[in-house]
Amino acid sequence: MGKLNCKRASRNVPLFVAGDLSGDLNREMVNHLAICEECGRLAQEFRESNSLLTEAFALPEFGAQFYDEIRNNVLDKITRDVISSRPRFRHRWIFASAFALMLVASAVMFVRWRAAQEAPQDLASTTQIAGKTASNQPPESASPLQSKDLPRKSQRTSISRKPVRQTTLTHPTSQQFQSARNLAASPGGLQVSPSERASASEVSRIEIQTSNPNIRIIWLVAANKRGAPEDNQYKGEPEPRTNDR
Amino acid sequence: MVAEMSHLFLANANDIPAPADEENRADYLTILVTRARAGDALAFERIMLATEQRVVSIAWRMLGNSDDAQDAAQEVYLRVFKYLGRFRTGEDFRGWLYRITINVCHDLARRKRSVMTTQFSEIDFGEAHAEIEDPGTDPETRTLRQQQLALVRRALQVLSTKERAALVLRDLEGLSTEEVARALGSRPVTVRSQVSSARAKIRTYCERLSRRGGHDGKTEL
Repeated sequence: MGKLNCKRASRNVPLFVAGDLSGDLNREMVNHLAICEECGRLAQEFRESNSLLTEAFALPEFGAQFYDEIRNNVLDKITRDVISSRPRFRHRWIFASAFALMLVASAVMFVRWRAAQEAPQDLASTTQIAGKTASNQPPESASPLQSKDLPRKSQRTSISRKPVRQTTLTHPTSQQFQSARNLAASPGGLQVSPSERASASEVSRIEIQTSNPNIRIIWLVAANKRGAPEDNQYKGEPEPRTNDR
Repeated sequence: MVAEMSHLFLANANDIPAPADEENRADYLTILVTRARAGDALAFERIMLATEQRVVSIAWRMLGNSDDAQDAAQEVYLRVFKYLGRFRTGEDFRGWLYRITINVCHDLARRKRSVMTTQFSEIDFGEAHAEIEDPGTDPETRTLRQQQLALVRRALQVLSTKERAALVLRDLEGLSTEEVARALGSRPVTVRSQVSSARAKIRTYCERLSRRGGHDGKTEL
């Protein structure tokens, strides 16, 4: 290390006077201050200011009461915080209990809903069995997995309550057709009472149950309509007609 | 656990004997911290007893006011109680404690920045006068000395917060550079630089003021 000049020495004086330097640098500072009057004076000023600093900030005597107050205040504050935190801890239990109750109630409601969902499915199966004659489809084809495709509960209930009419197809003879035409052609001759109209529709009702349990083709054909053009036959549920012009 | 601690705090703690010699103080404090972390309220009170003088000393020197120092010390121990669980075993507890103290002092000083300088000038000069009064010296010499001390106190207040903290811990509290670095969360070389700069500023401040007559407290460093 080279010889210490005044510029570098003055930079290190604050550390040197407080004993913060060590090794070669400290030794060089000692040697430099011994020969350099200016730097020696600077070091002396630093020593005095450090001495003043220590004296100016000499700790006053606070007394035992001063420290007792600190300790007591801290312990009181901690105790108060603990007491004030207790109700919050109780509230946590209340919230937890309420949450558990809500969970149980939800589970009960779910179980009841599932049970209610299972019951109409059985009724729907009964309906399918009733339509077996017309469709020739085995009711077992509707598996339980298809229960989600079923109509809503209210709809299924109405279906199950609806009387299922078994269809018998009769083939009218040409004489019957002719008499029916004559009856329609005669003025005022076509006086069909509602009961007659109903009986006419009974004969021509055909129900076909498809593989989808939700789809049932109901084919209504009036007795006097037989032999009409084919385009009327595939309308979902045509209005029953009593005369054909 | 905390509820039990609050009751235990009120009891007089005598089951943990304090060490007679300085060498065992660090081990003693380590044991206390371990026990306090495990929920021993008695140990926490012992920690306060073992460290309160140093904490108050740092706070008083940083804030320059005994009331503020008392408030700061209380806040320091409340924070220690709150964050003791985060203290890592094996770490220097005193360094951790001093860091909390410095942070609390910064917070308080920031809060009371507008009145702090006035309080320091008026109240603490009075406290220091009682310390340095010597009946053997003549009044003129005594007055001159008091003016010089007042200058130094003002000089400390115009330092930056980091320089002031480094100077207080290094020169006034007598900590080593490494301990100061741990307390301030910086490197030793940084602390050395801050302390050196602070000493130079104080010397310059005192020199300028003594040339002007020692009554200007607003001199820029």
